[in-house]
Amino acid sequence: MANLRDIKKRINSVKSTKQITHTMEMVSSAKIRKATERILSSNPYNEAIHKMLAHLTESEFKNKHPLLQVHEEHKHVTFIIIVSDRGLAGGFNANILHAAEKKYRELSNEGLLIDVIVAGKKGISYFNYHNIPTCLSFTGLSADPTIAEAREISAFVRDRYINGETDEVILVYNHARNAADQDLMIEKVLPISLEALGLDEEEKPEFESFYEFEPSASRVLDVLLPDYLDTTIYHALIDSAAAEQGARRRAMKSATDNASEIITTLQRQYNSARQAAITTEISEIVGGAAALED
Amino acid sequence: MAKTLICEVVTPVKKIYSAEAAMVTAPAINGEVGILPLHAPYVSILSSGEVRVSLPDEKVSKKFAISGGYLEVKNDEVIILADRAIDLDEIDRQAVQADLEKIEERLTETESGSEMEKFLTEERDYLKTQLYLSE
Repeated sequence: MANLRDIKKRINSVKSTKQITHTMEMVSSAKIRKATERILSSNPYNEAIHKMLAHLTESEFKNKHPLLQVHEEHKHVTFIIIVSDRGLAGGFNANILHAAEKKYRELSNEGLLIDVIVAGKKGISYFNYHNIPTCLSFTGLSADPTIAEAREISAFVRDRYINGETDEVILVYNHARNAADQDLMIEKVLPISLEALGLDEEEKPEFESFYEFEPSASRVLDVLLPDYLDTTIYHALIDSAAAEQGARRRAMKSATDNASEIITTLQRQYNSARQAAITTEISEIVGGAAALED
Repeated sequence: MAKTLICEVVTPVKKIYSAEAAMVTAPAINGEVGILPLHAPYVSILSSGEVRVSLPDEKVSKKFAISGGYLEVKNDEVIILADRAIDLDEIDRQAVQADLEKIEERLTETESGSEMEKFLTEERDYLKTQLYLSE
């Protein structure tokens, strides 16, 4: 029979773990709300810039802006991988990193040169461990991503793309489908393609050619495309931040539930051990008394 | 009743304003433009400055300080996509002044030519625009 004190000790340690996971769950719940609000409030801009660009490229696609142009050679690929700084979020980081690494191996076997940009401490240590060099890394984004940081990433890949140092840019991140579920997203962000704009047939405006541009359509496109890229990356960052909280809450909830279960089992063991000890003691007393009577 | 416009001011962070308007004035890159109802479809780059939204049936107008962005007009809808925007009534001059000093300080520490420097410069110009417009 297990020692009473040992069981008591284990119960206490599981209890304190449970307390921590429960607190983390509550903290994540609170943060989800904030993160979701941030996505919602950035949506109008995102949609508007999307639409505006869609209208523009309709009429101005032929003018072949460098960011729209597909490079003839396809040799360099840049990955932007967004994970979190902290763990304890279930499969949140592992999913992304495994998928990214698989893709990395796949493409490098095809003979492509790959650059990796990674946001999030977990990603940095993962790629270090797997000996995959990263060319740019960010930390501190998953808590509170800002537009300034999104622009830094965006400017970096934009310059490389225009200079011909990369031929494709792929964004890998977690999309927060809802407060509980995350989807793994692998998106091509450069070259910007019309399909990626997701313009439905019916959404196409009828009086396309009537748009007036100031100063000129190509100038507007020149500034709009980089801004669009900034917005896309910013959106991925905040999306991933929301997904992280969702994943953490879920992971912590199941950890809390598991802890409760373990505590129940241990408590039963404890009770039966105690009962056994009492029974032994009583039978010893009874046995002793009977011996005296004789 | 005279026709009106729908005017929206949005930034990457949030939608600032959405309401009916009689006229919208914005700082287009080649000079200020005023948009009235039934305007032709129009897209323009905006420089930093003041956006004025004249409300229907009222003498007053809503004013915003913006720092660059775009203006799109279509079917009597005016969408202002601003990099940054704030309602002029909400500007706290002291806070802006304090922010300005902070940014100036950070600018001296940032390496020149970096994207961060560009961003901080824009931020500084935006704060200056706010101060100028709220005088």
